[in-house]
Amino acid sequence: MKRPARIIGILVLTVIMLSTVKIYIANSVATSGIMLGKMEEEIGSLKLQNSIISEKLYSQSSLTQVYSKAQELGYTDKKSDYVISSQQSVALKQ
Amino acid sequence: MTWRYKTAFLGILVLFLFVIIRLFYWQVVKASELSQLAQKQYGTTIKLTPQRGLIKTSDGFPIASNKITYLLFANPKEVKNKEQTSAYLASVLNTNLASISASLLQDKFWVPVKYGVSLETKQKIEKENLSGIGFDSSYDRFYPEASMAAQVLGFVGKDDQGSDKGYFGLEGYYDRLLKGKEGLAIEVHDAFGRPILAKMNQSAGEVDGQNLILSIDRSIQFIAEKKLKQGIDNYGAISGMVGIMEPKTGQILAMASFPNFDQRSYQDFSDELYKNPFISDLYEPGSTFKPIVMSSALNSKLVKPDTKCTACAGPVTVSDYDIHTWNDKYIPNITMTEVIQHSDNTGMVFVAQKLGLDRMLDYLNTFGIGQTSGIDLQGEVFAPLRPKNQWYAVDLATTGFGQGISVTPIEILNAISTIANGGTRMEPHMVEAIESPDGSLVRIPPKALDSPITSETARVMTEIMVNAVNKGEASWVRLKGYRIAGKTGTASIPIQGHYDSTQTIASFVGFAPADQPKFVMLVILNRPSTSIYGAETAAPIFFNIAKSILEYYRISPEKE
Repeated sequence: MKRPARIIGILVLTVIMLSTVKIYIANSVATSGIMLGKMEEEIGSLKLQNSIISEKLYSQSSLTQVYSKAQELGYTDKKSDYVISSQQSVALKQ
Repeated sequence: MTWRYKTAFLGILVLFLFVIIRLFYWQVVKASELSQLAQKQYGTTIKLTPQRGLIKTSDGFPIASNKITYLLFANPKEVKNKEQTSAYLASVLNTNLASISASLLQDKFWVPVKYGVSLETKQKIEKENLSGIGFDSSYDRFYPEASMAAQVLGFVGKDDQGSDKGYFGLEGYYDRLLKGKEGLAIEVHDAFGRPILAKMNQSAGEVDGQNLILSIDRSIQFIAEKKLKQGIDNYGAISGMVGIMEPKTGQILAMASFPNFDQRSYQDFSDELYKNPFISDLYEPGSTFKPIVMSSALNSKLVKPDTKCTACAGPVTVSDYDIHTWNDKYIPNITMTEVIQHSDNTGMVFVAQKLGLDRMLDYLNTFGIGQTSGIDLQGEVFAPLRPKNQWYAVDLATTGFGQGISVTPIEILNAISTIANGGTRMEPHMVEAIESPDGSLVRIPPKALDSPITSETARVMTEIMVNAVNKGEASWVRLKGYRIAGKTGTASIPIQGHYDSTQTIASFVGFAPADQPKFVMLVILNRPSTSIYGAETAAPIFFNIAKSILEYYRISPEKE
């Protein structure tokens, strides 16, 4: 008869302990919602900034933009190439 | 036990049994239904739209990116001064006043007012503190290079559920990869219906789309588009297109056509402009087809470069049809090298007849003519080769010089690329690698499809094509110091059963440097008006683009 009573006692104690831990954890994280909300807000804001900066960067570095800026600054297309190509080196020619 | 006790005990037992059955009904049978009902009371399920994958050129620049935009929505029951609010929104959003008024007059808690509102406009409206007006963020396609490669990219529209869907080009072909997977989140409300936490259970299956890394070289694409556009204007063509491919891998370096459309406002353009003519338009290739037939005959050892045509002294008659050369000039005993150099139709009839129908069909098949190229773009078409019993003697003869056969430009580009690649036909491909949201890359290896000719035949054919560039009709525009293999094409357009000699499709196909080709290119002009000939219209565009690409690759000319 002693043994079952001990087992029941241990079970009851375990239930009480687990309940206490659960109540403690529930209480300690109950206010984390606000912090979580703030963090989410911050993530959202950073994502937004990242998106805006990326958009600006891509627009400014597009070839279309670079080409039109170059034209504004007076750059023109290269008309011809100067290539030194000879079987004899330039030094030897002299 | 008296009967009274027994009755009372039984009664209580029945009552307990009833309670247990009822509990089982609510907690097991109806559990999910009740759970959904509870969820509705404390929160609403919202769809989390994943970010669509980016499309990047080979240098990693996103040619199709995403930009944050907003959906302006209203709760008409909370909007205080509907008339004033409608007028203000219409002026800021630059929208029809009537449509906004109609939205705000609806007897609903939530109505969408305007999609695609920019951040600046959102901030401007928020400053006014309008009651009953809110914003929801979403992503819209953003094209930093404007309409560059528009027909290659396709566009993003909506499906019948209102979700984003890619149409045409890469957006259509890779839609499932690009769009990712929608997720679900529960927005929890308090007793007054105000959201408590922004989101709960956020990681409920949302997966961003995968990025595509293209083989398209942004600089080459830019050069090709700019010079093609100039060429179309200069030669008064209705339209034009260019395709540039790396022969060794089959990767497309550039593909462009004009007129095109603006993906941001695709709905303002004709549907006809959405498709990519380089893969969706059939045409008669004309003389650009000659190298394919000639290399088939060379490979079969039926002719050699110095074989003389014994039937080229005048027009050739096949089944009551007289076949002339393009300029009605005839060179008796013309060699095969000269047949390509002078683009001699009678010489090609001689070659086609030597080849015979069976061999012709076999070679065309292995060159990929009459079938899809397998390019990873939505909308590719093909005209299958006619069954053998429907070929007449005249069909065989005209196929020799590229008439009476319909192909897409990608078929010709791929077939000529086979010659440039030493006789091995590669599958044309746009996407070089797929990038997962976590940054891991999956490369798509080049795929060899067939080997219609030997490397020796390819080398001989290359020499014939180099000779055609150096001494043929387009020699006036060739790039001195470079060995470039090429062929002009001037195809009459079949209209109501006959060929209209005043309207042509002018083209030029070739590759450079001829000995170790870095690129193969096909330029096509539709109905040029300043001249009908490919040598005078498409060829200058080809060499103009080729010059810039050779400079870009830092390949210097050599002394001639």
